[in-house]
Amino acid sequence: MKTNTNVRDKADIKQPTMSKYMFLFRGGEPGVDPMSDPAGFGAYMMTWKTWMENLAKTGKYLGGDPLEPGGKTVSGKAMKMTDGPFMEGKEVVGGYVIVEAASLDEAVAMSKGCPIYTHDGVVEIRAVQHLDF
Amino acid sequence: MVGALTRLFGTQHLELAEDVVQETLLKAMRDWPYHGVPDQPAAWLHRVAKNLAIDQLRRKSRGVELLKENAALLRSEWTLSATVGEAFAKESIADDQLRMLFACCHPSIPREQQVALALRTLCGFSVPEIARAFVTNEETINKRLYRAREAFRALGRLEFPAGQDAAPRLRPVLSTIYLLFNEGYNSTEHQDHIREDMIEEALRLCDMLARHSTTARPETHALLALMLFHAARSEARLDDGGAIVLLQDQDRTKWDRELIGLADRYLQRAAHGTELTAYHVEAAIASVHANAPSFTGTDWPTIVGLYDRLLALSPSAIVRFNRAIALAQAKGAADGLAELERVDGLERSHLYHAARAELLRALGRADDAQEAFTRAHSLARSPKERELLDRKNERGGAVLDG
Repeated sequence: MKTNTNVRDKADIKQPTMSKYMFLFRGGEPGVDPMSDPAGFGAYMMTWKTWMENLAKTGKYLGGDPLEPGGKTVSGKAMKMTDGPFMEGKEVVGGYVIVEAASLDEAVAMSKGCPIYTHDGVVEIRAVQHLDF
Repeated sequence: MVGALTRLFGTQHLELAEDVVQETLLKAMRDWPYHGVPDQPAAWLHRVAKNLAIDQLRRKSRGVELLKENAALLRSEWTLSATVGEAFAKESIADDQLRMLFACCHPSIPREQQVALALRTLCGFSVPEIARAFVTNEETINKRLYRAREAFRALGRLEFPAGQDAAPRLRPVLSTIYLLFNEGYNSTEHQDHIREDMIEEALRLCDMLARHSTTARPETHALLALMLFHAARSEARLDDGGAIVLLQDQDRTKWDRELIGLADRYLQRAAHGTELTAYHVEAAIASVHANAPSFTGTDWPTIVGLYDRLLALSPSAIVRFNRAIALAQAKGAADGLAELERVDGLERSHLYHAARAELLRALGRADDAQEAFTRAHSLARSPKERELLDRKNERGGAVLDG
């Protein structure tokens, strides 16, 4: 019976590898208009700032940006172009954030406190694929 | 504003912060004559500076190395505007000024560079103004600022010393403030507004320290009291021609009683705690003078006693000299002269020989007095100093400079 773990085995124990995860934000309208109520909109954006600041403090926040509504969809060999919006408002991607996490579970936990949840929006959390070939 | 921006960008981007502020002020100069001064000028300036800072960051943030803790927030549109906006919030502006003050007075920056840097970045003095304040040329100040900025950049982030660090870091800050005050108070070379501005800025910075919980320490209150006592007498200290009026000749009705009362209150507050600093003792001496009904009615024995304590805290030839003068008032010219002649290291000072001349004359030694006076005259560095000596010689007054 093997009673002691040998040193080589110990050295082989790998640290959990960090992966990148993308948060895709869908829906979640702020409910305030930046033009008519700049102060209210500023307060809303401060809630995003607070959340992201906490993420940044862990050193695992890599970046991200909100997206303008609209845009173009391009498809097919002929690059057929259509104007946005392309979907129901609730399904429009309003922005993204990229974080670093050890697992999908950790990434999900990191999305806690995101202001979008209180504004009837959803966060789709996806691992960035490692393409080793 | 420079403080707020420097905290955002990091000390290595002091120029970027200064550019934003300068552009803001230029915009104000262009806009205000056409549209009138806005209702809330400070809020207007902050909003413009905030927008310019955001523009700068949008254009440059990929290229410049930002502070680690802010970089992610300043690079993302999610958080850029909110982060910059928060730095411009009223309460954080005051804190940033203090952080900036601590950074300008960092031990790694030589003293005279600290003062130049503080005047430029915290007090908004122009390079020609600083050059005038130090009675030197712009090139010298530019060099000093250049070197100070190099050291400042190396600091990285603006920090507020806390806990055990606070007291030792406060010391150089206070002495820089006192130096700034004295540059304004003692210089007779320039009569323009810069003198008063320097005094006011020194008081403002010290007042800011006195209002913040971390820095509201006994030595801060003592320095503030000391400067207020001096400031209270500044009106009576110069005559219409800008020449110094000696303490004994000052019109005491011109002393600012309100400031003296304020100074006394700060001195009382300074008494909390266990540490006695030179500022405490100097403020106590200034308090005795400020509250005396007349020069002759001054409590000289108390002043001599205070100089004894000051000597124990920070022995110097100047302190011994002042003690000898006070002793002459308390116990008579003979004791004063004996003490004065034991002072070493002031042989090149015209004030020392002028004081000797007066005490010798009081003792009836006219020839020795004349010789000492001639020596004082030859050592005086400026026409103003010689003029003051001549007036003293005519009347045989005391030398204490208010």
